[in-house]
Amino acid sequence: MTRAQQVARERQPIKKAALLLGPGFITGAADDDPSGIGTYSVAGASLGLATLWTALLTFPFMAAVQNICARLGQVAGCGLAGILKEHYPRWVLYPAVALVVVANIVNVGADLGAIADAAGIIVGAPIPWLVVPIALALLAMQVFARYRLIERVFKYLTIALLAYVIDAVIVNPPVGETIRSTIVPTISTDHGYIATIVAILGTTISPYLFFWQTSQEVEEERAAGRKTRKQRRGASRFELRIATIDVTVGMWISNLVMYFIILSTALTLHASPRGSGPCRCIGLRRVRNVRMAGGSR
Amino acid sequence: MSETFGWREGLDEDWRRARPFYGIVALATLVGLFIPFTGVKPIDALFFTSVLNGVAAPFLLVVIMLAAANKKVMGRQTIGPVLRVLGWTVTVAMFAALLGLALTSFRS
Repeated sequence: MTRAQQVARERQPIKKAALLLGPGFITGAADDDPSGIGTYSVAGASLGLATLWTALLTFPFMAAVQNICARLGQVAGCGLAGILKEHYPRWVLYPAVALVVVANIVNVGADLGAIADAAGIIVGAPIPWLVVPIALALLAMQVFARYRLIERVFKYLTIALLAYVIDAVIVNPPVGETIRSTIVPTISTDHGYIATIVAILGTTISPYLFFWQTSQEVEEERAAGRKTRKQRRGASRFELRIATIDVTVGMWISNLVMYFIILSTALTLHASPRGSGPCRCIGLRRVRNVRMAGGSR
Repeated sequence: MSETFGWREGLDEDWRRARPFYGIVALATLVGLFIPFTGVKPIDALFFTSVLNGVAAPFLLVVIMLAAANKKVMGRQTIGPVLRVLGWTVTVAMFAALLGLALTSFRS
């Protein structure tokens, strides 16, 4: 049974709403991966509230891009690389795949390093000792667990991201300045500032998310029993509408978390005097040393 | 990757039948494993990853936008005007941000 059929059949509103959230919701959560969180933290810590507007402005665009990717997966019935292979020349396919492979490998490496670093703070072991077991554990999960299980684990892990919202409320933001920074974009030609904007855009509207979203929709159909490409081609209006809701809600939550990460790091890490006080937060000392700090504000 | 070379793929496939797919996932993880050993600070690596994604994304967006509006790929279910305008706007914006990055890096 497809998720669309399950949604249509479910009577209880809360269960119906929970069923609505699927691949789009997970993709939204996946967007706040370590490199996303790290980048938003660097932006907040080094530039204060200056980049807050990006969380609001990128939302419609990010939602549009992920909706387009979801639609590609649902209608074409295969992932992005498959679509490119079938309909476009090799000189389009190979560079596109190469771009994603390189970006992904760096992404995986950086994420693993960060996970090990964070775990190291808790268990007190050096980073290299933790990288291997963490990588193996994640790999084992991908290899041995079924799609539905992975989906459910990610769905509940997303709740942890809401801690950033609570964090931002606790630090008691200055209302007027926060609203102004959210609505009015800060424009600067400072190199560090532009690099931060590129990084924010890149981690929000991210290549792996394009591929991930498209493939997730295919996985979804496959898990519902549509094993062949032919069965998966095309999508009903209802399926498309459900995917739109799912993806848009997912991206909204993703950008909500992004907003509050920038806000809370701007108010805690940026506000604190540089070079003094103990490291309260993961990577705080490093953020101060980041070359991109620029100090334009 | 699997799609590029026509391998069996998917997280729901049986482990033995989709071996090349898992091989690639494993390889990506293994290669990623060695980055922390190069002495690059994790937070710098995360930030660098994001910049790299920001460089790659607009090029891929061009291909995605063309495919999503292509009748051969989508049949009658190509994307509508709203998605089309939003998609191309962000593609142009990301190229502009890249241009800005390139221009300012010569100056400083």
